[in-house]
Amino acid sequence: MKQIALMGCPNVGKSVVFSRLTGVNVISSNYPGTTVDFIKGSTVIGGEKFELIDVPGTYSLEPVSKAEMVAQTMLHEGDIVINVVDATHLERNLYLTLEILETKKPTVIALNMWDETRHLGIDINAANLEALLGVPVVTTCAICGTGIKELASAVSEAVPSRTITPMSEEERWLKVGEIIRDVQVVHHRHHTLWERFADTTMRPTTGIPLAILAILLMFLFIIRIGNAIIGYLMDPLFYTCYGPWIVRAVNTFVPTGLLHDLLLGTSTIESLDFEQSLGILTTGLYVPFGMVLPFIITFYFMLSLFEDSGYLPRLAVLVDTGLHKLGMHGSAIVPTILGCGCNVPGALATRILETEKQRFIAMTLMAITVPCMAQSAMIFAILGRYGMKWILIVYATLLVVYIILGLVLKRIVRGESPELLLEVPPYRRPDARTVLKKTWSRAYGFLAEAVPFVILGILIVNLLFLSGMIRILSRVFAPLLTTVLGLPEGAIAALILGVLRKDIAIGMLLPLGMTPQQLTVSCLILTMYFPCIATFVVLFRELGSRAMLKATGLMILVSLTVGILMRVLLMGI
Amino acid sequence: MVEKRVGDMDRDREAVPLTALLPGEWAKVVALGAGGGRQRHLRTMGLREGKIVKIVATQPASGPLVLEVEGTQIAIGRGMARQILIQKL
Repeated sequence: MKQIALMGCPNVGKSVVFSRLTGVNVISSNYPGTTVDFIKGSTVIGGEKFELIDVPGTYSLEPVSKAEMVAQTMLHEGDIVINVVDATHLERNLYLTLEILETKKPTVIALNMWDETRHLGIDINAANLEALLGVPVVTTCAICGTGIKELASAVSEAVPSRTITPMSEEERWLKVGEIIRDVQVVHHRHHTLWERFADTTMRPTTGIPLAILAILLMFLFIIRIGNAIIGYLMDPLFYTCYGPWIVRAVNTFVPTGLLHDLLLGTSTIESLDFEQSLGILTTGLYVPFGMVLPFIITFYFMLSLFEDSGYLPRLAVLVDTGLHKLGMHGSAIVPTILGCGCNVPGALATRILETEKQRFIAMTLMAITVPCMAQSAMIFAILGRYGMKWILIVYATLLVVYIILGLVLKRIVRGESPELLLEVPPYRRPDARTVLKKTWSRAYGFLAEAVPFVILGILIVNLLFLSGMIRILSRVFAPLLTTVLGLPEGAIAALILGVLRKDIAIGMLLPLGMTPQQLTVSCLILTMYFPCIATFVVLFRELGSRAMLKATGLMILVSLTVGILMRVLLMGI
Repeated sequence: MVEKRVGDMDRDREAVPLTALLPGEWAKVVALGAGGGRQRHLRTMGLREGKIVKIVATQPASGPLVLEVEGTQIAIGRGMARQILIQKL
């Protein structure tokens, strides 16, 4: 099967062209660097099957980052190149185009965002461009879908350039200038009102209040809508429909015995208990679907809106000064926000940071202080009963730890912390279909991972209790838990489960009958002491064994220190 | 009053670091500063010698500044910006 490499600069709509050509569910967003992991798909053009590769965006073939190195290799492996060019920024896009054409790979050029050139006052002679470059040029608008069919049929006409030959960097810029003079006329136009507003979101005096407002609104929205979905949909569904039905069904087929207890836990038809019964079919399904999923859906919906509107790079600019003091730069806000959904994609997204030092700090801070949405949902559910105050204490403590630990790590981790250099793409109206598609695929990803692990966790807890292991472990860890941290010794079960999954671990705290103070300390320790297994695997792969060992040491040290401090502050000595 | 030729005017306006530019002011890029790799990267982002730039926003406490060149906005750290030389227009 022949390979088509889809190449272009960042922010040219390459990923949208990709999903148009393949119809595959791909995540494409406005933020430079989110497609470091390349995506493959297959497509049929003129009866022939091709493998289409979405190559990471790159400004040139002389790589300055890992992602761009990948891009270079993929170009050499491909049989045909589709070069996606942003028609609204033709001049700087042409540099990469010339470099690609110099390799003499058969190439087609997609002149994307063609619809936008007119109202920006840009006039491009596409036929003339085609003659000068010596390869087919097709005008496209990937977002609205026009020109995609023509692009596909042009693939069979892809040829090595007849006009472009290898040249030096200086000659290349001269050539770019020549081509631009021949094919492009730009009419003067004034800044629109919208563009003026867009700029205010990056000025510190207006941008910082707006950013705080946006994040507050996002949080309020997630909590309100999440709770509404639980109250009006999930709880009625579980307590009046699913619950009685499943208890009756299990009682009919397995009325008593070990299997009955594993499936339903302590739930009976008279007292349905989804939170504390610890049965596979009761708690095992209620925690991921009834308590966590509503928040996951609302979080990812909001995140997709933020990503696709183009707000994230602006946020990166606003927080750059602060994050610099913590040894990173503004772009680190993106993995951090992703980490609020799930630490796994968060850790992967740290690849947009340039140096090992920045990535180590970003990943360690996230693993210790950023609770994923599944964990947050459980914290809202359990601490929320005692009032907002306790939730605020948990998050404020995590924020303080984030800052102090960052200040320390900046000084003790060796390596470079380079400055921010980032293109800020224009705001775009998010496409409803793309946002919903993205929300769905991320929520599905959560379910696919969470449900098996939660069920496995409940199985393990049952085995620990049945075998009496829990009594032995409780006794061993009792001095640490009760004397040092002021928690009941039963909390050990939650700490063991927390290595597997945090949401079910926090759920395990409920039957212990703790005070809000004890719950607060437990939630903090569960967040910080160790990442869940899925995050651990990714961190290990990304950091390597030595750095992971250091990070693990920090996790234990920080969680114990903060645990003891908070115990003293909240409960006295 | 003596009319100056364009060349003279160019010489009159001394090259200053990009950081000397205030939000809303326009300037012409004269030099991109140190490092061949960095220079190439800046050029491919659209920031090249001879281009006209405007400052959109500056962040406080030595934070980055955001400049606009031919419709592209680029956020750039203060240290890098200090190495870029411009002539005010």
